[in-house]
Amino acid sequence: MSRLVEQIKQALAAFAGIQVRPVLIGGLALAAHQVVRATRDVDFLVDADDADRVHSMLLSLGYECLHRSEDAANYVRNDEGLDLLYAHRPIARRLLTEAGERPTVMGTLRVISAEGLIGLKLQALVNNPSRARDRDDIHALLRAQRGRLNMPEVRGYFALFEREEMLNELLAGIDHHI
Amino acid sequence: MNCSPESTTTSESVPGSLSGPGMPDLCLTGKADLSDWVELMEAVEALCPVWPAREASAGEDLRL
Repeated sequence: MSRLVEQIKQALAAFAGIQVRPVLIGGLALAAHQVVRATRDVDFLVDADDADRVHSMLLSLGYECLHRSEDAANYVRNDEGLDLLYAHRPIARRLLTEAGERPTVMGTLRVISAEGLIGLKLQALVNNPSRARDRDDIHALLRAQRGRLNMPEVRGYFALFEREEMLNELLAGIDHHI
Repeated sequence: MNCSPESTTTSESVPGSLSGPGMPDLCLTGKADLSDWVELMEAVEALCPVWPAREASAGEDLRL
């Protein structure tokens, strides 16, 4: 079995042990929304109020904290990484609360909505425009989830980051290829 | 070591070309239970047992 799977299963068991329910985000959450690409990024959204307990838990599992702020944290254990985004603003808290449970090969996982994942990908892209992968991920999500997305919510994220034109371009590209 | 082999996917079901540091250029339509991601990563790990260094995310402007 993939050692990534073993890493994720161990982390999930440890989260359960401290009564924290993380939400899967990032590249792996893409797979839960039918966009599968290779990624070793293990990213979770957790309530900011749980940050200290999660930090202690990860240290006890042998992770080293590379960076930690009120918004996010990065942990590594040898070549394994685990990143956290802390929900403390209203939108992230809503996404955390509304995340649905999904049966997966790693057990039942809470996964961020496709709309929320698009929002987080957009946020990452705005912070680092050179990350073309995030734009590609958004494009793939829009295409894979076409007709099933809450588009007012999606448009709201693009408006928040003043990137409405980017969404129009992405949607136009999808329509063009269908 | 370059761990990013050229994509060999030609199916019309492939929604787009995705790539990044240390990532093979692959993107497939999945079953949503992560089983296809697990299969993919088993292949990736076999091809690339040593992963590239990760980036920290300090100093980002987060609004969500």
